Amino acid sequence: MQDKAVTAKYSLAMKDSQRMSLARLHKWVPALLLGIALIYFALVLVLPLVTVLAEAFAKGVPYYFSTLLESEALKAMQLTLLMSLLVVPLNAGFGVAAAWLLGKFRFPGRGLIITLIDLPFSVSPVVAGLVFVLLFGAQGFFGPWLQSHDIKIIFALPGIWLSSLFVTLPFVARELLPLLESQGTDQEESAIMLGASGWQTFRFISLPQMKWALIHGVILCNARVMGEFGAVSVVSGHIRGQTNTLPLLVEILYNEYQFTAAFAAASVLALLALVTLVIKRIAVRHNHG
Amino acid sequence: MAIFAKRKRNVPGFRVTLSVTLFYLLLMVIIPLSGLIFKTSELTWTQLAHTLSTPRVLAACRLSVGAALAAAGVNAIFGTLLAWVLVRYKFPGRSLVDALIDLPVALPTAVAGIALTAVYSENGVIGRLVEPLGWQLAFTPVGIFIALVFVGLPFLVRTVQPVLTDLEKGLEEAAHTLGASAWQNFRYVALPQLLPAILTGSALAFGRAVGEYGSVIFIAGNVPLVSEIAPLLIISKLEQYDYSGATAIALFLLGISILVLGLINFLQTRLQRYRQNLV
Amino acid sequence: MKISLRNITKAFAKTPVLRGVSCDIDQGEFVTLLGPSGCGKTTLLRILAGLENPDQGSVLFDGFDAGQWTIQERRVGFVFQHYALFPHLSVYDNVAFGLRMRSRQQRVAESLVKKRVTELLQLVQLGEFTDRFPQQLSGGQKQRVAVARALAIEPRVLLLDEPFGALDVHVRQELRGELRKLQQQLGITCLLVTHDQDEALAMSDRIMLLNQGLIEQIGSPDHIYDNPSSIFAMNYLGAVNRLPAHLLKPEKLGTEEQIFVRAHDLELFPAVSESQQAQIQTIVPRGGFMQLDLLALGTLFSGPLRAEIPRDRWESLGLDRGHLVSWKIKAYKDFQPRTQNEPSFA
Repeated sequence: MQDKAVTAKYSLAMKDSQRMSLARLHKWVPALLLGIALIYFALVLVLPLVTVLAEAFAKGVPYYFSTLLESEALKAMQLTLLMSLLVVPLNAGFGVAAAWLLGKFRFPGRGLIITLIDLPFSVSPVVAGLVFVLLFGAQGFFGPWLQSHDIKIIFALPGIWLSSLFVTLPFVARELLPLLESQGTDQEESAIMLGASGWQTFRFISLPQMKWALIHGVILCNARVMGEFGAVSVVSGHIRGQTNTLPLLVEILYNEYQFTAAFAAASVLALLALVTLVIKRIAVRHNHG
Repeated sequence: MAIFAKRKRNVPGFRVTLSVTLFYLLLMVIIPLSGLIFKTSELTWTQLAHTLSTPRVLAACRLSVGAALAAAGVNAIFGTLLAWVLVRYKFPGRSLVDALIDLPVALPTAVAGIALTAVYSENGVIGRLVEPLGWQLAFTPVGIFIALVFVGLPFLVRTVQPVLTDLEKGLEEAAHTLGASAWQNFRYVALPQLLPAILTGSALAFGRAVGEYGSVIFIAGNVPLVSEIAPLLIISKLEQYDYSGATAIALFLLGISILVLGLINFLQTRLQRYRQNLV
Repeated sequence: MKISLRNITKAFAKTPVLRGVSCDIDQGEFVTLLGPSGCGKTTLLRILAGLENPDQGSVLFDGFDAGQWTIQERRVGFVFQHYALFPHLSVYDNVAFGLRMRSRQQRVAESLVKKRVTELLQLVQLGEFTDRFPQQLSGGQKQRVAVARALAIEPRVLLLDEPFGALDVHVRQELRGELRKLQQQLGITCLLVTHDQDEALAMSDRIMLLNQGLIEQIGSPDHIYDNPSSIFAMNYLGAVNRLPAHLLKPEKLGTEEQIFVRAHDLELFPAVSESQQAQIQTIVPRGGFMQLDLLALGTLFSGPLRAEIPRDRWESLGLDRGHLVSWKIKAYKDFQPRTQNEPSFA
């Protein structure tokens, strides 16, 4: 008697009808999951992207191009480009050095350095901007000294440069570090044993193998520099034609209800973002190849 | 310094990279952040507490943190789902979807901001749909929430994807032969292994969302006490030359950043350990 | 060129790894560093290479203290356990690397480089593979490239760190023979680290047996095999039975003394009543001989025994598991108790 009860309780056998309806349900589950995921994806990501382009061309193609060729827009693009050229190489150089240091060596304080590098990444961009205002602003730490020497950092290009440098500092280092960590030191030791100097080893053995991760890090850094908004907004003073980067221009145009013009400027940045994604895809594929 | 001298290092470049790294970090991270600390020392505890307890500041902080939490939560579920679908299923356009996941990271925040506003405002594609129901999405806290969902999505998908890819198929197959249903398999075999990654991704998304400015500033109503985010309040105070007030709020956000950073580091060491066990 | 090690001592974070190793190695010798993991053999090799510095002691090349030189100046060829080939360079470029790096300072013409690289690749039988990349090679092929690459710089000595560990059995044996032939052909001094005693016995002019940071014994394979200086040395090169000494020397009855008998020094014959008997427990065929686990049942000695007898002898005995067999000791060793730190040389 007890045996039967126990068996019934633990029996995994299902009635045929139950099993069949479950199977039917099972067939639809992947499709359902896929559907939900793609709807979420379209809603959250695709829609905004498409909107940028739609709104940009709302007043027609000629209007689009004339907006972009206006002097304000051109100056903004120039400034954005300039910042990129001044920031990315510096952070790339730092990134290689830091990733090398942290990836190939073990020493006390290593963890602290990693945390310091991660800090700009996790801090709000507005706080990043504020930090520089507190340092170089009129009432800041160096304020009086700067004023007496007639040097302008806040509300001028140097301020934008410094805050961009701060905010994008970790990008290249974070990209390279996992790679260098996982490579180990055998190859470098091997090269040294074969007679290569330290510099030759780095140049001919280590650097070529970092190539794609470096490219990946550089374009991410570049995308962030060109698109940085929060920190630069605090630091730049929004002086039209002088300290407006492209993202700031977008904000100004938008706030003046020049929506189409704002979206036109935004579309340039969106295009840049898409190019970034394409290059990233290629870089990732090479990394795994 | 003796420790740095004694060890024989065959890999070149220790001293060079150490000097460069320390110098750069000193200049670009330590000094700027100490500017903040310096300003902080001018504040007394009472001043700090006073600023942070004014209704407007409290509302802004609560909004920033609350919306970020909610957005991270939603992304935890749907981001994981997206990662699952991308790894486990083959469908036309998968490459494209995978590439576009990084859009919020590559796209400038201001562009995202105006685009999201355009979509969810009254005349926007979605806004138009819900207007008859009396719902307003843009210019309310809901709009902020939506923007933060956009911003945080890549963090979850990109953190979960590699772990999902590395999951030993064998474990799920074994569970299957032992009689587990698909749901049980997910719930008891896959999910526990994914949990550290999901938590890390959520923490990253949350950390990013709390301080987010550009994506949010256009779609938020920016009405004090209702739809004003903490970063905006910092800027307002700066414009009024209330440096102490701005610093106080900045400290609050910085504190959250450091906490989240600590949490992420902790989770990632657990994640590392776990992934090593998988291999 | 003679290599001398003088009292090499090294510790890692308070754990002593090498505790005073000294020996001389002559030009053209093939010496194997043999020992269990943790005995310090890889560390010793790396110190020779210049990849580690000894805490005390020195490495001398023809009397010159190599500690004064940089790694590059030492000109030592090193083959890593996992090859460490440069994945972004072709086989040709991998082998040419050492020559090209030097050419910046010493101007070796590219034509000479080509000649040397081609020669070396022919030598390791990879002449057809010059344009391949490491990812396209098998383990054995990668190892050959690694050897050719190390030889390209005309090293003073060739050091190999468990080079065959990651390869399967047949490839391992093939490469062993080839490496030995190559080494003899070139007359180059060679030091190889391994934990595999068969490898050491097969390849070496001399074996340096290391135990816990000291040289246990150093000598030719035959010598160490026939005249092990300690229980450790004997045990390391083959299965050993520990038996009470009174089995052969009745006067030792009552003492704790032991004698040591190699597995193949036990003779087995059909059971007779007046002899020591044992029961066959396990039979493992090992190619040309049979490995047997026996349980001795006797008044003088009872306990497990390990015997190895030639296959044809086994077949003529016609026995199986559970059967009884008589056994006799053909040869044995006994060791006088000796102090821990006394190495022995031969």
